[in-house]
Amino acid sequence: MALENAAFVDGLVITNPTGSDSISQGDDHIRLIKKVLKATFPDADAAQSLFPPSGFCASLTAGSLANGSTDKMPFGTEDFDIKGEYDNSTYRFTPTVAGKYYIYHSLTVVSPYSVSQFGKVLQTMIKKNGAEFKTLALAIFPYNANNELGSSVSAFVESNGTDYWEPFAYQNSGSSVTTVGGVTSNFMAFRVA
Amino acid sequence: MAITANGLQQLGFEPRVDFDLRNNNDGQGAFIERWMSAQPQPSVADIEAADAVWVANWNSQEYARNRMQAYASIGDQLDMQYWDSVNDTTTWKDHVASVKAQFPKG
Repeated sequence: MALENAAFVDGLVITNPTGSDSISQGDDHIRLIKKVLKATFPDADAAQSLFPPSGFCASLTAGSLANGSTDKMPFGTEDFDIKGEYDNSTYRFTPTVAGKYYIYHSLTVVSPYSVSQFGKVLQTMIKKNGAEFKTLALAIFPYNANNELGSSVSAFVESNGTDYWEPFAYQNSGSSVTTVGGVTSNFMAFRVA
Repeated sequence: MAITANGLQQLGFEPRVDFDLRNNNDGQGAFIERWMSAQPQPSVADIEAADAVWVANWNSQEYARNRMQAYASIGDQLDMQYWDSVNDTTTWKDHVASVKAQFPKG
């Protein structure tokens, strides 16, 4: 009788049972399959997906962020977009399946020399359906230093299938600042449950 | 031309205190999302005119921004002054004069 001793799915032997095994041993195989399925997916009380079924990552092309204005950040380059739910012309993520999503927005700018910058902030935010959902005032502009400055915000959100999410940023340094593109500025999201 | 926070600030209003400005990056430019000031909201023309004043002021201060970048750090300048006093030299004075000459007042 070819019945393996498996604890999880990867322990199952696909050639078992062999053709010469007795039909009466079939119930042992069925019990084994049930056992390893329940051991492998112990909390599966709903439909499960082994891979994130939804998500995207977009990057920014270097540009500028105006002083004193809350601006949608033009993340126009899609690194990937699993279900085509990110619109790289409106910079809007609209997950089409209701569920819980993780959303992340990071932005890097160049802090220019200016006496008026001290104590001024760079903020990144995520808006839900056009309204502010989460804001993080992370970065304080340095006094008289030409450094790169980054701010990021993330959120674990419930999205109903039509909600849309957008990346915004604000800075009040006194003049417009240059935004840094590439890997240091990203807008991304993926479905968690 | 468009509505800018700089123009509104030039008129005496503060972002997030008197107004919220928003730009959806949809080609329509910035717009006033909320007006919180007790004073009446200025016209677009007034904001644009104020922005032009702000830009002129900003441009007139370019030499000052360049000088700030070119001056040695405060620590280095103090060090120059110390050694000038010890050695009877003019390193610090020469440094400041050199930066001022490089970026003259417009």
